[in-house]
Amino acid sequence: MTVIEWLRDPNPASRRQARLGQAYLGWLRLRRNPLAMAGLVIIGLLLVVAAFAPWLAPHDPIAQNLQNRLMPPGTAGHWLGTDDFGRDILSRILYGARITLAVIALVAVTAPVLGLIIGTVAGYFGGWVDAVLMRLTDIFLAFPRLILALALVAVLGPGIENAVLAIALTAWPPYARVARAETLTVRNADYIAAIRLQGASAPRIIWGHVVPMCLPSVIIRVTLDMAGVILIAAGLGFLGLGAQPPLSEWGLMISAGRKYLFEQWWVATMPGLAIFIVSLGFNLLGDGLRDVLDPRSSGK
Amino acid sequence: MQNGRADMGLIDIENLSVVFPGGVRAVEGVSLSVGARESYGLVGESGSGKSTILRAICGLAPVSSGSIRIGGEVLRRDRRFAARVQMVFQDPYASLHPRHTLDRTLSEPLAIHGIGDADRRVVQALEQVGLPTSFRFRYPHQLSGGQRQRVAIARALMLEPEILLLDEPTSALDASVQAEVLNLLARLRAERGLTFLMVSHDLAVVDHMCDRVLVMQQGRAVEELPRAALAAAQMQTAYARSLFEASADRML
Repeated sequence: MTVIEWLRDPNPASRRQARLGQAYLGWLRLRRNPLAMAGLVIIGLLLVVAAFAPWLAPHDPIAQNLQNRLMPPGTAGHWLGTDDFGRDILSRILYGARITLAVIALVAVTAPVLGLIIGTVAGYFGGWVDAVLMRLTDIFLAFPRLILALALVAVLGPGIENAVLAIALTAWPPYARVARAETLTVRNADYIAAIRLQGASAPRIIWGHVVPMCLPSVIIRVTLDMAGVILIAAGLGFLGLGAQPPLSEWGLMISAGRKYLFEQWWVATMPGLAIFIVSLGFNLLGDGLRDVLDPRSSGK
Repeated sequence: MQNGRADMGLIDIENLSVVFPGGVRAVEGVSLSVGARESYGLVGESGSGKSTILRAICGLAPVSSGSIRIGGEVLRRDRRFAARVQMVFQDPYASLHPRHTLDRTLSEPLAIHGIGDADRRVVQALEQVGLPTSFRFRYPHQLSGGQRQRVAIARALMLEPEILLLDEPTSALDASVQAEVLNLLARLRAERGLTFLMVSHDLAVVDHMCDRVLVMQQGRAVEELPRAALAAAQMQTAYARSLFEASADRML
């Protein structure tokens, strides 16, 4: 019996085989969707670039060379040109992938989890718990996100860690809303009544039974929001409140290129293209994940 | 089969009233008593409050007056209650978690109550309700309605309760599958000495399954009939008679 047959066995013998089999079927479903695969390839490239930046980058990203400043793309040795300090833009983008990835990873594990917990708790208990948590959510939603993040960074002080914290603290309300709406549709379902009748505690019901029902819509929201998170991180960097020079963060690079936008367009355009491609990757992947995460669409 | 008096049943319900928020009076002053190992049926048309009585026992409907006692104790819905009383829901398409495998659904009650040996117990439970053990890691959407209801019955029996509340357990199923599920329930009751409190709008089902029947109309108890009286069509009230006549052709 080959590994594939073992994975595809419709009657798995153990929990592990069942779980791996499900994962394999999920992968097959994802592979059938060319757009999602394109997204996955882009995200994979981002991971590789971030991991191997020191080996891939032709130059030191913060080494200045004022004789070579503002060289156009295609110059020998500087294929994407140089910025106003003569630093190689390609190297800076490659290193910048690390910061972008760190920001995405940190926001992706904090904001959705916080939103998911707040939304499911509010939806499951209802009453005053719901009222308090949802008014809190309303207050956060009523502020434009960038402005709120700006205020938080202004209080906490500029820096990449504080920017991540500010983004996470402003990104959770939409997840809470989505999770609450999903919770309201399932909280009166018979299968929730059944597990309550089995004597399950509220945390167990919420985490084990309500959250799995909310997860797909939240995950899809997360991948769709990742583009926005990159842009807000870039925006904070652009405003000088995120990553600090000479760190090579993409938003900061666009900000630095703004002064030369008309004469030396590549300084701002190259990191902008990087943001665009990565955002696109997340959007494409998000769409494909929806199909994978629903076990009801399996087995066809 | 004991035909217990009102003061010595396993389930004692006295003057139960259920009023939903908004003033809908679903159940009004219903009393009934079910002896240990008895099978008791609640019949009536839709909206007669029969399912609400089951939901009130489980704490899923608000009790506005009256009392419910299980084994002489006033009800406290804790884990001990869960181990004594379980329910099988009407719609097997809605009562199983769509994202949990059967294995997860059946082992969850064991995990809640800290009972070990889950692997063996899950396999045993599947065998007991007549499902192949190879179904263990399937999802509910991969099963038919009858198979799902078998899983729901297996889940209700995981904690080895003495009382099973059955809320129209076959009304969502095909006629042929209905009989299979009813036979399964009858067999499990005989094997395990279970007490059934069963709701149905179908007198044929009740006649097949129950020792005694309470006919309900608009939230009130109309008439209680032992099986012999049901079989001999000796109803006292006009409503019970009309209900009987409506389904008599299928009982023969």
